Amino acid sequence: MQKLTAEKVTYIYQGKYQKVEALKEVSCTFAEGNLYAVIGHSGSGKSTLLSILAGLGKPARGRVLADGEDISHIGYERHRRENVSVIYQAFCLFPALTVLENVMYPMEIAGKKRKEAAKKAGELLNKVGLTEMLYRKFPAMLSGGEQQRVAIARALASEARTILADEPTGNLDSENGKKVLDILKELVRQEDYCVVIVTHDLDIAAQADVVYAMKDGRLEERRGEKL
Amino acid sequence: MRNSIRQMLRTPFKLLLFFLFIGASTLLLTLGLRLWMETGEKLRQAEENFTTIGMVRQRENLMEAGPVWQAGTKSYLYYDYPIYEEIFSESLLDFDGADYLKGPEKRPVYGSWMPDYDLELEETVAMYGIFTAEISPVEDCVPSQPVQVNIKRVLYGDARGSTQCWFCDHNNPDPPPMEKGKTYIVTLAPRGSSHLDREEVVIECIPTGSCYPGTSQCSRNGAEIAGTFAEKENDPSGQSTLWEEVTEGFYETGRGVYWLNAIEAQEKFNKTVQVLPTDSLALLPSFHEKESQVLEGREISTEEFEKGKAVCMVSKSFAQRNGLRVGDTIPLSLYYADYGDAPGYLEQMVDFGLLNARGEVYPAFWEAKYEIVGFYQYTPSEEKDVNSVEIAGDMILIPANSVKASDENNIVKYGPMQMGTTSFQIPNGSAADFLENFKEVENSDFLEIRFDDNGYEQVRRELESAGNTAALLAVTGFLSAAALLLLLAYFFIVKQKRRTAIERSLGMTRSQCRKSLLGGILLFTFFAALTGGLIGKSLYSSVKGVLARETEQEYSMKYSTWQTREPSLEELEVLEQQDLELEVLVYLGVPGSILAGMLGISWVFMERNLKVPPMEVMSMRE
Repeated sequence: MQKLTAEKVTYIYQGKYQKVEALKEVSCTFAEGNLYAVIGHSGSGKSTLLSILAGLGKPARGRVLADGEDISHIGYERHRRENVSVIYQAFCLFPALTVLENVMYPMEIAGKKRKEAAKKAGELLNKVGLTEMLYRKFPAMLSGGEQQRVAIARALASEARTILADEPTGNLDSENGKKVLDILKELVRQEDYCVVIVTHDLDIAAQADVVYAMKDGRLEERRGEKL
Repeated sequence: MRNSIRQMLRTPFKLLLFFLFIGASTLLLTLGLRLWMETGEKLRQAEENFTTIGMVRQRENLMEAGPVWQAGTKSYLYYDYPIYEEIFSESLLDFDGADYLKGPEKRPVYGSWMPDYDLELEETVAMYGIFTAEISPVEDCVPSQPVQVNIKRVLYGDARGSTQCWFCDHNNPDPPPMEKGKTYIVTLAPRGSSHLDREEVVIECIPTGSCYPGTSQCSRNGAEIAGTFAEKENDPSGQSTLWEEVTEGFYETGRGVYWLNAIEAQEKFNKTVQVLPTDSLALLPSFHEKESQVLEGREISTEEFEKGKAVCMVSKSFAQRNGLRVGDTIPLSLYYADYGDAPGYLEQMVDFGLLNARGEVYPAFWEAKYEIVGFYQYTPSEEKDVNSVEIAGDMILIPANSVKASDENNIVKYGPMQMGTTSFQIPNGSAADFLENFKEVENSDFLEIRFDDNGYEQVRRELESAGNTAALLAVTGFLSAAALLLLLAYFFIVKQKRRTAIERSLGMTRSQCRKSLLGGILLFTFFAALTGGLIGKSLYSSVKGVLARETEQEYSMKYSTWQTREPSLEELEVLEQQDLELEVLVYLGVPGSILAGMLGISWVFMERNLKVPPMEVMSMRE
């Protein structure tokens, strides 16, 4: 996939007592070879946008296109398997699986053979700077930075070209945060990945090629603006 | 699935607890259910095998002491005998609230003349050596003391070659005189002398009622029918004697004719077998208590009883003595009906007249050939009151309905209900209610009812208690299984919301997510439940073994009738099949239900997990 587009996407949270319009006719495009940052205050709707882009939620109005094709037509699961990978602030690894198994998981879902998946997982872990010593460890035995790198390796395992990262450094110290960000930037620069980072960290946003700001469910592009 | 199992195996402590809890609750449930079903089955069997009968006796109004002259000691001995002001019929037991399975039956004892058969009675008769003879005193005498008499002619029995004997009238303190040269007819019973002052008298012959012409014929309602044949004139002394003078033409007219009839009746009686007509073997106390059991052939069936088929059961000893086999037919010629005595009493004493009111030998009122369907044997477990024994030696049992002719002209005696003659069957466990209702019936005080349930009440109480314990076990197992399933589903499904969310974000379909999470849980639930079920099965076998030993001790000693009959091969097959069905139901059904329960609960929780937006879950810190 080369391009992920949101077209006038509106998303409404249907609470028990009230409706909240989290996204209001949001339109944006994310293309390969770019690092995007979506900034905004808490509750501004940036995580909701990420969720919609990942196909984890259905917009009330508007649509999400992957290379011009509506993801509702592609199928949400398939979209998640083939087009996008998501990295979370809380890492979201399987606690009962080893580091290697966590990375193998998406490949096994895709039907890859176990041996092949293990080999590829090793390569990806190596790529994010994790040594073989850690392969058989469980996530809880790793530092936050290491866990997030495992999460990045798992994101890469699906071979999706767009990585959606929700506050990927939010739980990390600055050193580890920098390492994670460097990996993501490297993926954009060297491998032409499209990385969309949702953050409220302006320093991270400053390193992005394109910055979108979310405010009250509306999105505006701030290309070239001083943050 | 592999990842699902792997993830569960990575938390061995949780998995062990999961396994133990599911296994334990399955064990409780299977054990409890199996025991509950077992006790239920035993209760059902008890309902089938146990029967409750009531045996009825009319209480006498009073006991009166009657004097019996003892010629040897010149004194009276007093014997108690019952006085009944009114004889109640069994219809007294037909009252509102009487819930009978088989209504009250007052059984007569029929006499069947069987001249061609070898009978136990003949041995008894021979043993007593009673004979009827014409005697003539050696000299004028009063037979209040042993007097020597010549035996002129034996008309009945065997005097064993004696031409003289010592004769003494033991029935009268002051008998009339006998004259030398005169002939008298009398039935004599030889016995050791009771006259200790007469050393020369070793054996004395005393007059007895056998072959004495008399009648005790009764009507259907029990009223005695007065004899219309020539009665003996009373002796001027006012004493009634069992001997009388033989005069010219004695045997052609008058009393002699009846003496000859009485001799013929006695000879007929000596070849008579007692026949017991009944509506069900279950009503016969000895069969109910399994003191009488079928040794060969079978019992008379319910249908045969109802339809009055000409079938019979004979005692094994009678059959052996006469070379009879099951399937043979025997001719029955019923000629008297005794509605006054229990067979046990009749074995000891016959105190009815053998002639009818016209002084004739009773003619047969029913003749038919009966097919022998089985041999029984009566083995009393304890000494009993003769009036409560309904089986006598050589007795033949027939369906009451098979006697198609009325016995109303052949009733030799009519008496009150006795334990050995009157019984009924009521549903198990209803004796107390029966008595409560019966108390309200007029004249109920005159009847004594003894219930025999073969220990059913005791067995039922114990089985119900065991059943309650088993049910408690099963309910505990069920509740704990339900609670545990909920608890485990909470820990293994609800708490795995994040896992499902991650899987969904990785592109797994809902169905794959379900499989991933539920696969391992269901697999381990299956094995845990199966293990619990198998342990339950083995525990049940042990418990059953212990219970069986206890039951055997308990019931074989206290309640000898409990399962004394060995089941037939067919019955065993049916029982085994039932047992197998129960085992399959419990040992596969319970683990299957646990699995289904787990699937159901997990499915509900899983659907709830799938409804939660993944982003919402994954944004939260663990």
